[in-house]
Amino acid sequence: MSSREPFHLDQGAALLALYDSGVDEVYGYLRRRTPDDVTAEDLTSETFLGAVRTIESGTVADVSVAWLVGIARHKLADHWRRLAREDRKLHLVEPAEATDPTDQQIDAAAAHATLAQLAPHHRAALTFRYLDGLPVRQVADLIDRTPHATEALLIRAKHAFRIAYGEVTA
Amino acid sequence: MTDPFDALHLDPEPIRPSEDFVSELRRRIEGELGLASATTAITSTAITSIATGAPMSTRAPRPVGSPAIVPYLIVNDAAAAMVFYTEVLGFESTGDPIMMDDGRVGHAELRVEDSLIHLADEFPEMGIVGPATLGGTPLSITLYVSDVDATYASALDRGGVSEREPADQFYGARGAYFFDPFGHRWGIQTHLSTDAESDAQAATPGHSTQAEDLWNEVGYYVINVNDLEASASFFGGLFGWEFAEPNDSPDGGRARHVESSIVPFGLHASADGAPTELIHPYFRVRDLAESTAKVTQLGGTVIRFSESESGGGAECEDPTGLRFDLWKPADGY
Repeated sequence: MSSREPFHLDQGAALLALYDSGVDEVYGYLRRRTPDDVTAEDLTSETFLGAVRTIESGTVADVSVAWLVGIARHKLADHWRRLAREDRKLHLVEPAEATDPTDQQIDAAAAHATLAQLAPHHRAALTFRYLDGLPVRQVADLIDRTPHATEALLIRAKHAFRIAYGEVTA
Repeated sequence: MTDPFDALHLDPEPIRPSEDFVSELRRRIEGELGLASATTAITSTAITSIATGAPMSTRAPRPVGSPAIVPYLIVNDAAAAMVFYTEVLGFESTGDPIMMDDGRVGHAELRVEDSLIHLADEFPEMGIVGPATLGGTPLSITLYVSDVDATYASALDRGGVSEREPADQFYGARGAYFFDPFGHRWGIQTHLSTDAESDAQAATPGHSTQAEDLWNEVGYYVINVNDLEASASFFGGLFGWEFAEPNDSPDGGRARHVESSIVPFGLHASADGAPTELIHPYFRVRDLAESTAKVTQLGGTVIRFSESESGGGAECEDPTGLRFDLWKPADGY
């Protein structure tokens, strides 16, 4: 009998129980950061099937909703990376200069509408940094960049956001 | 002062997906965990997500913990064979065997590490017979053990018949062959670390996996880029390259070594502006002094020497101004 088998079986049962109680939270996290049900469902599937593989590798210390949301973040980052790759083939657009509307209070509804219009790599950086409230170092890990490059990306993303936000609220 | 972007923060809020989706995904998780019942068994057909294109599952249905291949050994005394296999070869029984009314073993399972065998007595009335009855076996079972000599001695002591005594083999293992008392042929092996592996291990943190005799050819090259991270992300996405962490290069620029390639190389961004050449080769040379002398003699120029963990280098120009590096690799590179 392989020594990790009982452990992995236990964790498999724990994951199924967690699926029943936690699928709404994982789906809720993903749905509010993606444009439609189908994308959120696909990423939810990838999250749980990824969780199974991680459990089988015997390296999970804590099977919990927080752990699942961590996996979901990685799947979301991968998703945006794929989109960014497709986008880059289509166009390379640098936004024009505009006045900065974020001097005033940002309206949350308009802000989320704005976010949906941004390029995937900008959306990824802003989502993890501001919607999720993660520190820059953790954002950098998720999007596979150095903290320094992530700071730079966030500056460009905020710039793009301000311009798009001006158009949304105009 | 608060960041106006903090207004974007979202608190967790569960959302219920459609019930069809919830039950379908649950079935798939059960299947992946090997908990599927016969009626919900997952097929080995690859399922691909429509929206994301990611592969979902490719595993054939089988019991939890079972390898894909399980040898089923037929023996003329299964009870004795179970004792021999556990005491001599290190197997463990996974439970009580299934016994037939006439006292024969109908089915037994034995494990060793990540592997499994099934075992039963002969049932000649069903055409099921072992090697002793057949008078030979076409099959040899390879078993990795920690001490070939000890296992071999113990096997012969318990009724095994030697075919080949323990010896170091050219393929990097110490091996021996014997027939067990029931006629099955075992090739027991203890894997020894080979030179090739030692070389590969020594080279792992470094840059070269090339053969000892690869001299006067490109042993390393860099692709010069404008923006290290942007190009790493682009080419990584395009080709699936895996990168090491960025590091400072001797010219003051930054570089990222590609860890996943066969011919070693990296991306490089210089500190002083746009690159003038796409590829910069590093030729492996046995003797840096000798080769640089030859460069000068042939009308080329030695621009600068450098020294790093991976060895000594000399950046050179040919008489027409083409840049390249000569590189005397350090041990393990």
